[in-house]
Amino acid sequence: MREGPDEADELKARLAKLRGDLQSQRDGQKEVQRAEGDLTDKGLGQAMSLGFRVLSEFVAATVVGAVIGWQLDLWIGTAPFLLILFLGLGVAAGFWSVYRLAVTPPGPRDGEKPPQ
Amino acid sequence: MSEAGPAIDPIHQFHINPIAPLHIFGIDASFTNASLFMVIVLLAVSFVMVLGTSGSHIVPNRLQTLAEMAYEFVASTVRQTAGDAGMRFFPFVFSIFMFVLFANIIGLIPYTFTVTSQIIVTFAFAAFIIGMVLVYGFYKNGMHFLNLFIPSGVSPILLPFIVLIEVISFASRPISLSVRLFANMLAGHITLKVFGGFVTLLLGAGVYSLLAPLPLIGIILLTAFELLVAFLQAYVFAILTCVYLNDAIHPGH
Repeated sequence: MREGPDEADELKARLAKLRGDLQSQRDGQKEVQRAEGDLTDKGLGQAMSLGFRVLSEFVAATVVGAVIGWQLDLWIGTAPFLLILFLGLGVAAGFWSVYRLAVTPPGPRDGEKPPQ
Repeated sequence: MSEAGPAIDPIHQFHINPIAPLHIFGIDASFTNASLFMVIVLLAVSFVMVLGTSGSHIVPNRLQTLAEMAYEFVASTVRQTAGDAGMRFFPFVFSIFMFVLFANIIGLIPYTFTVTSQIIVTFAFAAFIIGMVLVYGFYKNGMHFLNLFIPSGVSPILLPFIVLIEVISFASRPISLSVRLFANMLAGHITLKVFGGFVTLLLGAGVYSLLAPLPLIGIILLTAFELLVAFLQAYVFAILTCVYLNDAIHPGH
């Protein structure tokens, strides 16, 4: 009967130690997985797809800006000033898209209230 | 991938040949090899999904695993990108993803035709997606949908420029969406064909034919790479569809 509380304490201590060990083991595995993840096909593929996205967003915005300016020039007859203006705006739009791509990871904006 | 011809023409694989000519009121609506492969892609997707979901075993067989994996993958993509409100577009995104994925992968088989290497196909998809974003955005949010073009916290002096830039950025979306898929598929198939041409040219070049296996090894590596690209581009197409639909569901930055 005298050993009762001692045994319980010892058991508690051992359980706590086990929990800590398991946790550190789990963390270590997670670290290893993260380190490996960058080198696997998935990491390469995601990096590549992001690269293609940046490239195509930038080129498309520039081209669309230039085409809008060119067509407005043809329509109004102010060649080449609107082409120059809209080419600049297109480049700015391209940088803007790339900036947005880099700053905010695409995800649901559920935190914000959708306007009614 | 290379056919016996007088010259090695890497573009030849993209030619559209009518199989059953059909002209309705002066519009060329012939059944071409492109249409044939669209039907094949459609049948392949239907085969996998219908047969895969008909059994519903507790321990799934191969087709059922494939169908369930495709469902889980697209469903998690839609949920992560567009939220739970985006799940009403799940059938649409799933159809697009499966069609593009199967078209890309079937196109990698030699002597087949890659539907997604035609810009008109990818642009039709992209234009439809953006049209749907516009229609749904105005239907759901009314004029508030235009908040998409007005970022908050911009000084009134800069606002006209920012709005113009946002409009150009929005207008470039269908272009970038369609050109990315089309260019990836076109470039990949031309590269494979050119490497195939290297093999045949080197084989007929006397001593240099010893070098012929090198491009062949290149083709093997490139085919594996193209398989990755085929999957990745379908995934990117689907995820960007979700991102744009998310704009329609929750406009305003």
